[in-house]
Amino acid sequence: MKIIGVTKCPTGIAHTYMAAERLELMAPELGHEIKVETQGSQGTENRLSENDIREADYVIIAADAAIDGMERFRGKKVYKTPIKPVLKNTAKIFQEIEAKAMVAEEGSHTKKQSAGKGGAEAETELLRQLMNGASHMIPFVVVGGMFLSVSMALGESASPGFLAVSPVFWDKIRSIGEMAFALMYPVLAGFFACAIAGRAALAPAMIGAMIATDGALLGTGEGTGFLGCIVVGYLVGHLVAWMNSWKVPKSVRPMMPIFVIPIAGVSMVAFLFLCLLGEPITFVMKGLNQLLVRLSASPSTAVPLGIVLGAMIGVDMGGPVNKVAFFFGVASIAEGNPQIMGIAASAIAVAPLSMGAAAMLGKKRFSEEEQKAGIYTICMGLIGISEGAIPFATADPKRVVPSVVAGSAVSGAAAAVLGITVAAPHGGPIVGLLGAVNHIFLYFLCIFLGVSLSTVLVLVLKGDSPKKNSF
Amino acid sequence: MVSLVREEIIFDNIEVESGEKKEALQIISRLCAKQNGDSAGKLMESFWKRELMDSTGFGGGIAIPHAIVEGLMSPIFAIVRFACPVEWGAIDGEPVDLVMVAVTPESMEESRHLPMIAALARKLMNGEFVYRLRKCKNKNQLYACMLEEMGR
Repeated sequence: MKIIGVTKCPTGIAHTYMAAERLELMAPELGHEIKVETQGSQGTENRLSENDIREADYVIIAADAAIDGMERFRGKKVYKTPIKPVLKNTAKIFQEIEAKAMVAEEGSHTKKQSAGKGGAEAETELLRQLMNGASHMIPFVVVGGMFLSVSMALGESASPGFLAVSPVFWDKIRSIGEMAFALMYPVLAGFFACAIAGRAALAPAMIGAMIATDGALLGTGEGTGFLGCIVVGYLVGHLVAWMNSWKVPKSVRPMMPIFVIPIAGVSMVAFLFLCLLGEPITFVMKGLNQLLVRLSASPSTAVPLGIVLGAMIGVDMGGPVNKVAFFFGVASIAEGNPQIMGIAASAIAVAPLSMGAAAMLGKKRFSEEEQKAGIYTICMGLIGISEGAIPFATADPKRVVPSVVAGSAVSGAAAAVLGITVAAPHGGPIVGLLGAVNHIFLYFLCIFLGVSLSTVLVLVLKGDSPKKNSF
Repeated sequence: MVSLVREEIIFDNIEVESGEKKEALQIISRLCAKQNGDSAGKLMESFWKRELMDSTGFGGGIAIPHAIVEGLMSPIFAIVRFACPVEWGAIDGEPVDLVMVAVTPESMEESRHLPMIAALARKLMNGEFVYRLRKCKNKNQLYACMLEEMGR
């Protein structure tokens, strides 16, 4: 059997390691494979990888204190014991394991709490899985967006000068950008599914995404785009997770991830998309795109769109709400609506830039650390890292968050009205300098408007309050 | 880095008149306090707190009293052998005559010796090492045996 373990004792000096050693010595004698993570006062050593956990048949938790990362073992067969019995009779632990191990509940910590909380947990778990896909995808969008926008900006102008390389050259650059864009769909679906069910889900989800985005193959004209990829990732992830739970004879088990799961997974997804899902998802996707284009086309609807997206970017500075708005922008780049990203990109820099500026302008109103962090926070803003403002927000959320949200919303609205487009999935002035923006001065103006508002607001709200932050 | 095992931290043939754990730990606290100038009372209190949680005697006549002590001057490691075995409430019920003491300050920078303590704790699970340790007749042999095992 493959067994993994975690040991932890209250002081973490000796017994953590003694128990680990005992388990590691005894397991091979009984014909088991084992890896034991020690959570001692030197920190966690020999950390269990996701792979270790996935492959393990049993988990031994030998601990006299609550261990870190218990949620990693949900769904596994877990045998919990104090340390003492391990030192007393290690062989007995292994004899008892099959009888006494209990399957760790889904979200074992929340079990006793209300069902509502469990639902919220499942939601954030889903968001985390989706973000795994999105974060792997972003470099592809960056390459695609930058290559495309540069090839268009410079290739079209083909004026004589040092940049007058033949148009063929720019065509090639554009083709490379398109390749990167074509890859981002499988990467999104693949790593989304991977976060749900592990590596075996990668291939079926990636191939599934290629099917789902190929309009000619589906016979729907256009592919199902992002929506389709998210559906593929979700379906394949849960399909593979289910297949992984099958009781398969040991001799067949190595065949599962390399043969059975990929073939069955791809067949299933292909069938679903060709016969059932392809058409409706394409329809919804088209509708959504048109809606966005129409919303951003007329000022009366562009303003609310910009306000909402901008406020979402500002409200938690790099947290889940921000990521949702950001991802919305990234998806729009690939669907050919870079003005949505323009809104997000303009709003992203507002929080750190305004907090940094406020800390430098209104010294008295900020703590010493905040003043020192001023310049650094501005730098974070310049390169489009919203998270730079988090220390300010945590120190004084009641005053900082509303100011930032207001400024971000204004930036977003301004960008929407002015029709700013950003072709790279990133924010802040830096994307303007890199040439991914259509009107660089208008873009800077949008950022400037939001930053000024946030800065003034936070200074006024903080008033003459003392340096210490009052909650 | 100063090595964990030094001659002056090995105490052999220590008499515990009552043959009880409490007195043994008081003696150990005094021996350790003399080493680095900490308060014996504070050490005793920490050792006792740990023993109340569960005995540190892990069987085979060996115990490893240990503690994390706030504001400790420097980490302590000591090897103490009693003239007569002491009742320790060990998990196998056997009295203890060999004790490895480890005390560590709270701050991380002072806890460089912890990996060595952890390694020692693992080695004590090795029957052959314990057997060799048991065979030592005097302080010098104990020192040599520890050096050989830990020095590598």
